[in-house]
Amino acid sequence: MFMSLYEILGTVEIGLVFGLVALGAFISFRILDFPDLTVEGSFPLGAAVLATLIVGAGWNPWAATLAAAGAGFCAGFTTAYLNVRFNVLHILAGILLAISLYSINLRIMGGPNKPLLGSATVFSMFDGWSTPSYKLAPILILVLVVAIKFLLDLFLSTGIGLAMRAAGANPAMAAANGVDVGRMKLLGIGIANALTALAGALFAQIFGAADAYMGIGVIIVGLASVIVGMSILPSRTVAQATLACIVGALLYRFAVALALNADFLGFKASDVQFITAALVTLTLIGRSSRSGMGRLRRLIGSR
Amino acid sequence: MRSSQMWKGMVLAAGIGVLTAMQGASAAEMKTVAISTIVEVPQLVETKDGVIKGLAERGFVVGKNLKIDYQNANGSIPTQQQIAEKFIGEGVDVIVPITTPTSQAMVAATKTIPIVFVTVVDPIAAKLIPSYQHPGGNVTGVSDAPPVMAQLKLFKEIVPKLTKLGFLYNPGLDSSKSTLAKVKELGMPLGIEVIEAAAPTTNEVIPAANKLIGKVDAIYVPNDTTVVAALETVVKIGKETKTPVFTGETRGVGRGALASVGLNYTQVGTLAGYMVAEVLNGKKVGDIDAVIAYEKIPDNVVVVNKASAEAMGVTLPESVLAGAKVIQ
Repeated sequence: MFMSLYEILGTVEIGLVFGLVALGAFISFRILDFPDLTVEGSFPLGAAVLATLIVGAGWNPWAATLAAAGAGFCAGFTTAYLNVRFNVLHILAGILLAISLYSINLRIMGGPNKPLLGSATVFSMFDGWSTPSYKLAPILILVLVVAIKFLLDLFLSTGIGLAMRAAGANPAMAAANGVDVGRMKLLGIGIANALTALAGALFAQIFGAADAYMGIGVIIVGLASVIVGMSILPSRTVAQATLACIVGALLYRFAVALALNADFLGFKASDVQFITAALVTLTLIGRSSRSGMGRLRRLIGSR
Repeated sequence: MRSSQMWKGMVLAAGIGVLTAMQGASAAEMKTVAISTIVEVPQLVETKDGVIKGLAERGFVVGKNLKIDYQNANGSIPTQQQIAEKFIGEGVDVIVPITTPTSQAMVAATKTIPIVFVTVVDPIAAKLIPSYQHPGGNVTGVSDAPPVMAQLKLFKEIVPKLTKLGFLYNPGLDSSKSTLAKVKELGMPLGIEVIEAAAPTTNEVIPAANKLIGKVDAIYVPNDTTVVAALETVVKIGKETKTPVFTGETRGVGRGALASVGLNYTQVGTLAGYMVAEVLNGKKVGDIDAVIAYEKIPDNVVVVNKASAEAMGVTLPESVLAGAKVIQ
């Protein structure tokens, strides 16, 4: 088989989880114009907190997942606080948090790797159902991610949400209109990292372990998802943009899956990163109005 | 605009269909063994080659009656997860994960497809198996726990005044933490105290090594991919300050370390290859005992480097030279 149903469902599942990372990147990079690198540490932080609470403290998996998101919020809040209160450059504040979270995660887990194999997870509730877990788990994640997307859309249209968007779009104007720009950054970057840590917690439960190296490249994947999603889908309204982020994350994961299956074309296992990048690039070129595909599309569209 | 996207989708789907048909034609009667690793570093590649060698020795030859699906996650854990899904979706006959996180991804993803892990230092702590003897379930494999006792005895033989041993490692690696605990435990009765120096990335190896100089009688570099990547630097510091540098793997001696007793990773992989062959021949995977490689490989090789010994101010005793492979 080129790609089995199992692999497709698994890819959807991971794509949706990374959709949460993309939503986080959307809030920090797009809405607040705050290039936040904390996520590289808050993704494994979510995983570490979750695994330690479930394995070490015997928490209910749902409560542990929620606590993981809370820990992510604290990490993001700290980054924004360094920036807002002490004027530490936003990128540097994120880097500082990300590198210190590496050590903090090792402390939390008491080591670099905390297995969840055999422990209760949020997916354990499907044990004993007649439909196999690999079909039900993506549905659970889908429901979760869609619910979070709508909550986020809703939040961004409330008074606070509008103030946050204004604070990112034009800080001077927002401040002149009575918006506390600093407070908006604290809240927004906190939420972005809560979403990332939530993604880390869910991912650890799929993967079967929390690992100190889980966060490598998460920021790149999150950003790529946002950009790919927004270049192929309309993103004029907030609801459209958040949908685009999730679709972008799914596409990115399918690019990886295609790359993994490209061996028959003579590619080697170590070429996966390159092929993934090439596929994403092709998608973006295909969308560009300067490419042949773009011109063709315009021709069809103008008819 | 919408219709053009739909067309693209349909062309892609048709292409996938053709490819599926092409692949299906040649796959009959072949056993498929799926091998994966998180990154490609020499010891992991040797492990992989060893698995294929072990399978060949037991009659499973690539291209004849065996197909190997080899995937490398390029260092990304999410990609590792997708590789697990790919393998399981394809319904391969046996999965051979190399390293701890790779094994965890596979074990979390299937309870039915046989898994033979290899090059995992502590499979019980990683919750891959409940015990070495008769692990049950669908998982067994080969641990590459280093022969720490033999190593410490060798170090002591070469540096008789050894009481303080520097341990240079990345605390983010499970295998190094596990080795550290072992070195501490086994070093105590030999009168060896362990002094740690942590290097979370390769860039921090130099300051970590410098921190040890003057406080230790020798430096031990475990089988730690982060520190081993900068081994030449550690060796240089050792030579400049006349501090012996030992490694947890013998390949390090070729790169300038003083000495080591270690595993030959091709042999480690071969052991796993034999297990995979047993599974392919119909034995239940849960009935195959998991093993620690150095207990099964009779001759752990002692390797010493004469030039480094001289530069580090050490005279190699005849007793060591007699049974060792000597690099000039």
